[in-house]
Amino acid sequence: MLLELIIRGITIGLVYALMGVGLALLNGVMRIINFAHGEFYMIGGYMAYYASTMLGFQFYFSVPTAMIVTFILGAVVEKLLLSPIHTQEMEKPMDYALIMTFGLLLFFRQLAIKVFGPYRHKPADYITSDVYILGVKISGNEVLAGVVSAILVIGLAIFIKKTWRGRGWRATTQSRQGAKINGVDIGKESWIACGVACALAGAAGALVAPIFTLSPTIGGSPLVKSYEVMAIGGLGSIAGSLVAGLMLGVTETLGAFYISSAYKDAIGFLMMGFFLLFRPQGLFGQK
Amino acid sequence: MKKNEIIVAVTIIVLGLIAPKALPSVWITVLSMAFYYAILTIGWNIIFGYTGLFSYGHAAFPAIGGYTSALLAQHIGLSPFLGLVAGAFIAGLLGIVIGLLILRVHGFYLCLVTWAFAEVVNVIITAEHQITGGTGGLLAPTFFSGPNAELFGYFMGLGLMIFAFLISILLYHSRWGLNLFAVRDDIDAAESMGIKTRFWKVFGFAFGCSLAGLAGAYFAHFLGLIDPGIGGLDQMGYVCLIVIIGGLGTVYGPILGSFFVVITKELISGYASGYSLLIFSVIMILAVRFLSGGFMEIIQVISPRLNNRYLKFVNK
Repeated sequence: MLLELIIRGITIGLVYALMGVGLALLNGVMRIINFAHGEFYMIGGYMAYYASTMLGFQFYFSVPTAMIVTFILGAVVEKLLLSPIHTQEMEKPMDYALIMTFGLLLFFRQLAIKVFGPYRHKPADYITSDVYILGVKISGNEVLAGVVSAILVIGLAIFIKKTWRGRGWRATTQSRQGAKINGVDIGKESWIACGVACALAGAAGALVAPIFTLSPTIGGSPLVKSYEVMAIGGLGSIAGSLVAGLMLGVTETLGAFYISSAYKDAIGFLMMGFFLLFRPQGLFGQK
Repeated sequence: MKKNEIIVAVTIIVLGLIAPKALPSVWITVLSMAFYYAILTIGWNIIFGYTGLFSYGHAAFPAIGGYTSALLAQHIGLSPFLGLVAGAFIAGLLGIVIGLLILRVHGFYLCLVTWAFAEVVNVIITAEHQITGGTGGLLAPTFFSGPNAELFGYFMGLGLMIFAFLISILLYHSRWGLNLFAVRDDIDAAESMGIKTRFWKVFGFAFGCSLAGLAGAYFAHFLGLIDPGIGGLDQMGYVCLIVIIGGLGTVYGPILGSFFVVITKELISGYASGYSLLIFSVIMILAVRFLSGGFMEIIQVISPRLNNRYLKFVNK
């Protein structure tokens, strides 16, 4: 039983890490926080659902479809609503972004209720057969979600480490002014980074759609989880996000089983509160 | 207090006294909800607009105030009027505790800690259903009984709102308020001028929270029922968009915003029920993008022109 809980915790933790990494990227490049991150998760889930039911796509097409749609949506949101952060001189860009993305959260959620309907949808299973890991039976969907999340997180880490664009993002994270002087186009990098962050959230939503059913308000929980991941792992650290996601997933699954499932969400909050108050830089962050 | 502010306060009182006679009786409840939101958002305006702390857990404080008052009334038979004081007091006390905790964090993390607090409060209220009644809610005694109970409750709300409004005006013009603005605008400069920034942060936060507790206790005893929905994310959304639409950091903003939002919601509920939050969120996004001062900015731009025209008219 313990082993099964831990394996389940790891798979869900990888999805949390995928959410947290997107947020960490956005925070690094644009210095803002996206409250609407969970809504892109929700939209990704719905896109995967419609791609698989209406177009009849298999998961290896429907998940990328969801990612492309959320990428475009994220880029458009950045261009239209968040770009004043770097085009205008603003006294408090963080407050602007907090209010704006909170407005977006309300907007997307209400829009989803109107467009997709308030009832629950459940896409068909991506992988119908079960998988045995160390003698424990795990559903194929969960394994797929965990594996693809891990691939995406590691892929993003390699992208940021190796390519020129990733180098530009790292430079922007360290010093905006310095990056600008050295020819990084902040405006362009911002919308690309915002799109990528949203696409990662969309991918997470699409991957777990068959496990948890879809409804317009599902964005709240993963949003909270991604903040917890970011606060525990340290701002802008991908390795930190990965470890924090796994930690959170395992602790939560064990806590829900051994303490009480009603307090499942409170466990993560308490963990985050503890880290924020006593180790504000997170696990891997520098002071 | 300036002349304008006194005029506005008196106008609100007069309109508030006339309204139950002039409007159909359904509007009594609607306007009482506007009073509730006005008190609540005046609190948030003091926290975010005056002191500059983005509290994302403001909706938890009316829940705390309301449940405190309702539970006290249920178990020791406290009168609802003292319940208002008790709710405000407990919410203020918790505000001091949270305010001391968030001294260590800045900006976005402050937002997270307050949000975490609100979620934990919500989880506890829902999970401890033997005490709080869970999602079904908890019955609270109303202020008055008899045929005119709702009308008296309405006047009670009007009085409380005027009270909160006057307090926010006094704070705005006093030295205390200046300390809060200094903390908001430039904390290092404030520190170097000898302002005790840590104290004023906690003060601003707890003050706003205590107003929220008052609002929550009023809500519980006006409707006679309180449920965990009062502390939900939607309510936080309403608080945020009311202040943004009305005008952040201004005295009239929260009142203007809450009347606009509540009345519009009631007016459109016949045609487009369920679309209200969607419409308001679009207005809020547009306001943040293009008109960061909300309604008050429009009024401030228009009013000198109106004033000039009036003076010309009088002189000729």
